[in-house]
Amino acid sequence: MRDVRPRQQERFEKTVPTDAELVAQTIRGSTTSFEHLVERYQARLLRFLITRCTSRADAEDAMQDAFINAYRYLESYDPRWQFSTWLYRIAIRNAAENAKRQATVAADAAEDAPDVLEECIQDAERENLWLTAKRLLSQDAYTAMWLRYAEDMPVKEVARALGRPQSWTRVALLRARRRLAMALGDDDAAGKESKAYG
Amino acid sequence: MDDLERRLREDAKAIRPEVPPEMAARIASSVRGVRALPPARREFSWPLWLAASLTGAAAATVAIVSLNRGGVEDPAPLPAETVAEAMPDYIRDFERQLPLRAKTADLTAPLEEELKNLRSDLERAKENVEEDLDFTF
Repeated sequence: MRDVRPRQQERFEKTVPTDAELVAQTIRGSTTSFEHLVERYQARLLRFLITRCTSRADAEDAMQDAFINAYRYLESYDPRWQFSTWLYRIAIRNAAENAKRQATVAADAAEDAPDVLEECIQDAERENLWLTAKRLLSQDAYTAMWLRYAEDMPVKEVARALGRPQSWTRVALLRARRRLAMALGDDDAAGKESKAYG
Repeated sequence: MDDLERRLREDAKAIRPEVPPEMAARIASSVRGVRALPPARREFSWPLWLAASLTGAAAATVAIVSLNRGGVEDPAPLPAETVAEAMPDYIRDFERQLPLRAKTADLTAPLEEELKNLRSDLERAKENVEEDLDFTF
C-alpha cells in the first residue's frame, strides 16, 4: 500500500505561500497577499504588544501602525532577515514612540488602570511568569526574553529585532534569567549563572 | 530545555488576547489608503561630482605650493657647549636624588608581575563566561 501522507503534505506546503513569496507578491501590487501576512501575524503581534503597552487600545493602535509602516516600507525590506524579525522591529519602535508620547500625558491615569496583560491571561492557577518578568526586568531585557522564549527566535534574530549587538543580547538574556530564577527561589539556577559575574 | 524555559513557554501560551474580528479589515482598509514608498536611493549627480573633485584638487595644489614656497633652510648650528654643561644646577641636584643608574629589570619587574596576574584573572573570567553561555544557549 502506498503512503499518501508525504504527497498530501507536499501539496499542502505548495499551496501555503511563504512570507518571502507573499512579500514579493505585495511588492508587485497585490494587497491581498499583504492581507494574508496580516492574518498570519496579527495574533502573535497583538499578544506581544499587549505585554508592552499600557492599554488594549494602545496595543491595537501600535499593531495597526506596525502593519501600515511595514506595507509602506516593504520595498526596503531585506529578504536576508526573517519577515517576522523585521515586523517586530517596526512594532518595537512604534510602541516605544507611542509610550514616549503618552508618558507625559497619562502618567497618573496609567497607575490606576488595570494591567492589560493580566486581563489577557487565561487558566491562571499561579502568577504568570511574564507578569513577574514585567515587574523585574527592564523593557529591553523583557522584550529579549519574550522574543527568545515566547516567539522562539534565535539569539541572532532577537538582536536584530532589538537593534542591539548579539553579545549584548546574550548577556541581557543571561541576566534576565538569573533575576527570574532568583525571584522564583531557584537557587541552583541563580547560583550557576551568577558564577560568570562573580 | 530547563525548567525556567519550559515555564516561560507555557506561560506565554496562556496569554491569549482575542483579536477583534474587524481588525484585519481595518488594517486592510488603512493599507489601501497608503502609498508604498520606494527604497531611498542616492542618485549620482555628475555636476556635483565634478565640482567636488575640482575643489579637492585646487585645495591640494594650494596646500602643496604654500608648503614649498619658503624653500629649505639650513639647520641651525649646534651650540659649542655639551648637554651636560648646559644643564641647570637645580636639575643636577634633582638628578642626585633619583636612582637613575637602576637596572631596567628592577623597574619593570613589579609591572610584569601585575600584568601576569591580570592576564590570569582575565583568562579565568573568560572561562566562566563561556561555560555559562554554553549552559544557557
